[in-house]
Amino acid sequence: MNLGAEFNEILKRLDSLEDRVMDLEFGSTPIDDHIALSLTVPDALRKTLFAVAKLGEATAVDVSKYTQRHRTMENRHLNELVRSGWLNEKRISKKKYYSLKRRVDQQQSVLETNKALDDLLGG
Amino acid sequence: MIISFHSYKGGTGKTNVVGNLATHLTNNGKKVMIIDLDTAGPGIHSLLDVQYSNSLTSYLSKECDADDICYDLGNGLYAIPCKVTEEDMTTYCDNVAVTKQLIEQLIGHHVEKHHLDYVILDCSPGISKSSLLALSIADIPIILTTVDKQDIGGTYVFSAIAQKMKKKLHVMFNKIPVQKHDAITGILEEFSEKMSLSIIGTIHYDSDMLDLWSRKIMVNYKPSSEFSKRIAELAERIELKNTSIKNSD
Repeated sequence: MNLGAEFNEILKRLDSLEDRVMDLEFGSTPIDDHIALSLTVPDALRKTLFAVAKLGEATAVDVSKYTQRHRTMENRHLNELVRSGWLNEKRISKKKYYSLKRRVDQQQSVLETNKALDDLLGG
Repeated sequence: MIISFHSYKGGTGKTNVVGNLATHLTNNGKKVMIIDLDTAGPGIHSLLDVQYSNSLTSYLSKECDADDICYDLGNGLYAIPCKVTEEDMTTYCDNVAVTKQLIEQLIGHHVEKHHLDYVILDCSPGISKSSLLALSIADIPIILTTVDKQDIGGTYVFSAIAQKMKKKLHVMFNKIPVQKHDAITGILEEFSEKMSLSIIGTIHYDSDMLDLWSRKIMVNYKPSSEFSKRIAELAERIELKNTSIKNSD
């Protein structure tokens, strides 16, 4: 590989890294910081978690259609994600709906802290 | 006892704090080993002037033994340096679990051989497999942060990850502006409480420290400096935690 090609390859990798950092810092998808947090979730569960993040609010059937995996498997994953604090569940008539549990208070606190520091440091 | 130093962004001062903390502890009779886990930007070898031929990645890729990568710097201080590489250290093994096992074996071997009191891990900034691995094995994980806007947001991400991993994360604030210090400290204390983080230390913005350009160890160069005093306070808190952990065992 010549020097120019190597340089372009490095630039490409830097771009890709920059995109990932931008996703973490400024991601506007409903999962925001959960992208980073999801590193701690096993692969099989992560697929279910991302499906719920994408669908907003979903039943096990909705998730199953999205992931193309069997409903009983998704039911098991959804229950596990509720138990480990990733998802909220609510029952409406006979159906259970799942949605992301967001740490609203802590996220709000980050905004308030930065606002207070902006005021002091002239941001 | 294993202490890990993390940060969300680079440039928070991890390596300088690690080097100075380790030196302070050894000056007080403790035996300490530093492991540089920052494969993307290792710095411990520069700060402590370690002339090395083998490094952590040589051990992980089984090119050499645990003894070949540990350098005795005298006064009870040991260092395992790291060569710069674009890959995360976990890529040198079959998977993260194997990497974790090798790191734990490495630590266990040297703790026993050198009767170490502390092992300090200098981690790569950001969230990576290696930093999560370090977080998982540390007795005292510490995130070092500044008042930088990106650091504050990143500290929240780290604290949430630590909560998921059921680890008690400590926070250390570095480079706190001297002006408006009290007001800023108040804000940071409130922030830490909301994030369930325990503050283990604070260091002011220190022009003396910056003037050293990592060419000297401040606790030896100027033991009476403000920075050295803050490092001493940090060491004291760590020693208290160590005693309390030992007593609870």
